[in-house]
Amino acid sequence: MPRIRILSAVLALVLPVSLAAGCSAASYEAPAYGADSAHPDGWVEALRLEGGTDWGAPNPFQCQSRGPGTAKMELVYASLLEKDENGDIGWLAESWTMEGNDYTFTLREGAAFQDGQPLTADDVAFTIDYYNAHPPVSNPLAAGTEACIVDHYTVVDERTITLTVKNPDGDTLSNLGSFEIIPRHVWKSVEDPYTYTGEGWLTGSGAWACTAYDGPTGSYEFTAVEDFCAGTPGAGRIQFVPVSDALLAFENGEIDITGVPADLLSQYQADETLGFVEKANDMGYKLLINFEQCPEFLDIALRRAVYAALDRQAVVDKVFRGAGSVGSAGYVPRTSLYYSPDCVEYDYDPDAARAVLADKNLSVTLLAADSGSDVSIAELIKIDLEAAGVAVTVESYDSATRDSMVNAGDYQFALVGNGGWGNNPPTYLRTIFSDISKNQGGNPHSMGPIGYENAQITELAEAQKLETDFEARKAIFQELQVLISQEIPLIVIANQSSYSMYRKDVYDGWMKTYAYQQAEQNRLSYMLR
Amino acid sequence: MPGKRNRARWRPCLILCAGLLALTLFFGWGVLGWPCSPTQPSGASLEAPSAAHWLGTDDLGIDIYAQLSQGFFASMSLGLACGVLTALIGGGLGMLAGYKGGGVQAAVDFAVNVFLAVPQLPVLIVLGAFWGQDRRLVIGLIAAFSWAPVAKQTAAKTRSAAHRTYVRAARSWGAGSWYIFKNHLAADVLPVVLVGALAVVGKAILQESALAYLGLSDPTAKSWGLMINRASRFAGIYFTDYWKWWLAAPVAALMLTILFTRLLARWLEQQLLEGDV
Amino acid sequence: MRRAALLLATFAVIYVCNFFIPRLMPGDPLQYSSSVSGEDMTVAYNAEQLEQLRAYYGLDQPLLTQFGRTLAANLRGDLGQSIHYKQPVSTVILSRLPWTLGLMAFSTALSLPLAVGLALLCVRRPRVDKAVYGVFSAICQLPPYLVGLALLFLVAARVDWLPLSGGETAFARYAHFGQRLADLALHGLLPAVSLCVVSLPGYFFTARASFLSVRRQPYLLGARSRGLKEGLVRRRYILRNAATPIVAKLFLSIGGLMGSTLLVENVFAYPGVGTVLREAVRYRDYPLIQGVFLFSTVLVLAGMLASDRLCAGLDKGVRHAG
Repeated sequence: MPRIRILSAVLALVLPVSLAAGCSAASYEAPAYGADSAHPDGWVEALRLEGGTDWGAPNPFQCQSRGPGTAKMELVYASLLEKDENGDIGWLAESWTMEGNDYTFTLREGAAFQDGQPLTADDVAFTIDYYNAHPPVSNPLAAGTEACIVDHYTVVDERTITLTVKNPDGDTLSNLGSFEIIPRHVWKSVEDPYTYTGEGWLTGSGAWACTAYDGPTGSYEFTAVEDFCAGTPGAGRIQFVPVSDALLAFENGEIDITGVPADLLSQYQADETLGFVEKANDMGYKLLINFEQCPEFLDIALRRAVYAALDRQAVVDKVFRGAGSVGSAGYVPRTSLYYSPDCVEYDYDPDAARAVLADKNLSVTLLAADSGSDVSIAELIKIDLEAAGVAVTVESYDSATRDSMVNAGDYQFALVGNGGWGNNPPTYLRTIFSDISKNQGGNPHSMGPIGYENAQITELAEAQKLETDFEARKAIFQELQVLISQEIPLIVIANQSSYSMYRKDVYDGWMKTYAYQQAEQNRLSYMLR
Repeated sequence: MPGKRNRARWRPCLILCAGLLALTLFFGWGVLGWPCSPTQPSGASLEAPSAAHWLGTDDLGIDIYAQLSQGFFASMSLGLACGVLTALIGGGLGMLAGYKGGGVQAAVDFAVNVFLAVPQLPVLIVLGAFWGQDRRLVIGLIAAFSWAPVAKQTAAKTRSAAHRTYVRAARSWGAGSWYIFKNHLAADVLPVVLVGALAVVGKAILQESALAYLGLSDPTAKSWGLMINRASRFAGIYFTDYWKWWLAAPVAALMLTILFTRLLARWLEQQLLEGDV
Repeated sequence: MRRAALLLATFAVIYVCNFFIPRLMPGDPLQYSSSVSGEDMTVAYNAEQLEQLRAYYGLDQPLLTQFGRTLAANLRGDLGQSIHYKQPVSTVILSRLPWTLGLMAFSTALSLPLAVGLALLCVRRPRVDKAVYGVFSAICQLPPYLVGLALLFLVAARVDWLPLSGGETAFARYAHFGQRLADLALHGLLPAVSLCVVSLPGYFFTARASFLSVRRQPYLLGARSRGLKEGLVRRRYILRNAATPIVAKLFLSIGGLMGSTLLVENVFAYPGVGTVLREAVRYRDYPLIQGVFLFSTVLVLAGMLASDRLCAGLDKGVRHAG
């Protein structure tokens, strides 16, 4: 047998495969939309961001449930309302009225889908029905469950629809305004939207059409839609480009915005041509105590002593490299609109801590995730608590294991870190601190203290939801924070800030909404305003 | 035969053992004599190497030399434990299969086949994610994926040794298994087990570090792979000098240790196995 | 035949373990929290929604029922729906497969000829042999991720024209196919070199041993005595007769190479099955974990079978010759 031939056959078989790499199966390319009229100031031909991760196909059923996934879907699809720096503004809807349980929205003239079909009140109605049958990934209506906030709808005319809700509260308008409208003519015949990839699966109602998506390499391209009814896109195209090292790519001009590590921030801040977005205190770390397993800590003196034992500034300095702040004991970060300066402050006082804790002979296990800064922070906590006389064993697991352990209450102390503290407090204070609403499953960062009850906190946390007046609601929140800082249901460790920098001369439209600080994920960041 | 030739034969072994001894002493000093703690911060964040911190400090201000030293003994003990475990399982099953033959051999063959066919690293990644934080389980996992080749070789060797006329003669006279093993098989079979197990020591250290690099190990242990993982993930490390001590030190330590154990295993293999074919 | 049955049984054992182990471990594919700012779950599911999702993916059934369903579906060729990627598992794997196989092929195309060439050289020059043999036995256990990291820091970060990671330049417009090929090769170079460094010693040792044994064969003496040119002898006799063990080794090392590739992909953020597996484990995406395993197990077993066949043929040949 001519053995050389085996060898060459093997190579011949495998090589073409390698050549074909990249002509990928899971990619989608649609015809590009032209945009060649005269361009207003601030417009840029192509805006490039860091890609490289597959966040799913940008449609409401197949995008991934994390920030970058839903953000891409939201470029392609539009909702009735949008959020700007101060509050809710019209998006597909040009106006809205509220009367008791009835919320009436009037669509903009010329609202259309990306295939040219008009977008009417029927599409809005269809979307609600379809979401009830097939809940989307991002589901502000809680469609398809008992808790769905819409009771029924009435199509008034082609551009007007009235949504009647079950129980209106402070969040109802925002929630009604933020579900994405899908085209009836595409989805009415689709049985399983979670696997559908046929005609029109990415035909959206938003300002950006998805013109390329390649899962394996994590690259996306969105092209501005001409004559979008709610505003003018700020770029001809948005591209998510897989890059080697984001900073290197930014320096070479391959991408136009990138995160900056805290160590390099000051060096870049000297450059006048660069703009910065500060996501102030957006990450937060808290220490959960399972009071069922550690009943000693129901004594508030011990919880105060834990605060005194922890050098939380060291976490900010060493782990966050100075970017962040010691957490407010009232939970809401210091830079938030809702922050109450009246919260009790607990200073680092190792001697006082030792005086309380040393003779108690305590030992605890500290559960932490094995990723991010979690281990480093857990180590610092261990060092501090041991100095105060509490023996600590750190147990760290990969985050999925940690999540289910936290959710099951299978821990003594648990360190939980997550982003989104800079978001709207209404969305998290109640689900963490109210004895009625907490610990309903879901994610560990919405888990509250186990084995701890506080009627006063619960009352305030529930009351704020029903308050529709902004100032009154804020006042309740501030009262709630002060109470939390006095009662210490959990220990707030520290908040971490992160920074993005961009070239001002390329594109300067980056914005944070009142509820969300990730400029790269906000739709309005990509519009001329 | 003896004399000069013999000395030349032993020279590589002496050099390697001296190297390993030097590493042990160097890191032993780091554990016993060095004033800095491997777990408590003893300086500022990311200090460059100096007299106070020979290899600088990491992001938490913990001395890197002290961590590296602790890591050496952690890695070595893990490697040795895996080696011993592999020798016990692989050697034991291999001898059993080779000596008994028949059904026992078929069963061991099958198990060996399963473990050889399992794509090792993917399995380690999956299991490591669940059990990685317990050192004993990591040792068990690595040993579970290392014993199969040793068992295969041991079985083959035992089989061939057991078929020799004098062994068969001894058996037909009714000699006990233990007697036969001690007097006739041990000299042939044990070197195979020893060489296999020694090769596992180096491999285990590497496998643990690879798992730790992927973030699948006890993150509070000062494992070298974990140090490499944390340093290489530090944002913007390309643009700073930190990698020169934070990343290069554990990489160099790992490579050096592996090199010595590997060459030692290789030498032993040559001495014990190649002579008697 | 017996061998095939053994492999089949092996496959069955791996298949069963592969189904149950991930599902018996802690973690839940429908929950995840991120430690990265801006990458959190933007969606909170209530208990009812979680139940609906569980029912959609069949996770609400008892494990044995799930196993039966999965088995039936797999037999029909359906690998199920990935929970994390929200796409059919086969689509996810197939779209990444060209990258992983391409990288494996690229590195093999580098390492195999190099190993064979070096071995040929070493067989003739004892002094070179001593040096190369020594170096290779020293480096033959280097882990691919370390080699990758070293290359990343020492080479890619200092050189402009080498990309640090990724598989290709995104949205590039190519004048012709050659340009695209060059781009792919440039991106694959460092990962392939790391893999090459790791697999080179194995091929070298096999090739060297094989050449040495062929060299002792009497027909070579015959060929040389007939006055055939040395080059011809080497091409026609040595290479040809020594090829089988080398190819067998190639098939056998598919498993190891695959493992190394998965690691190296993670170092270079290369778009392949390795990155997908890492994500699948992190998010407990059971169907995807199973799919990747099924694929790699089949690949490894096929490699073993192929190498067995080759060796069986070789043994027969040797016996005839003897």
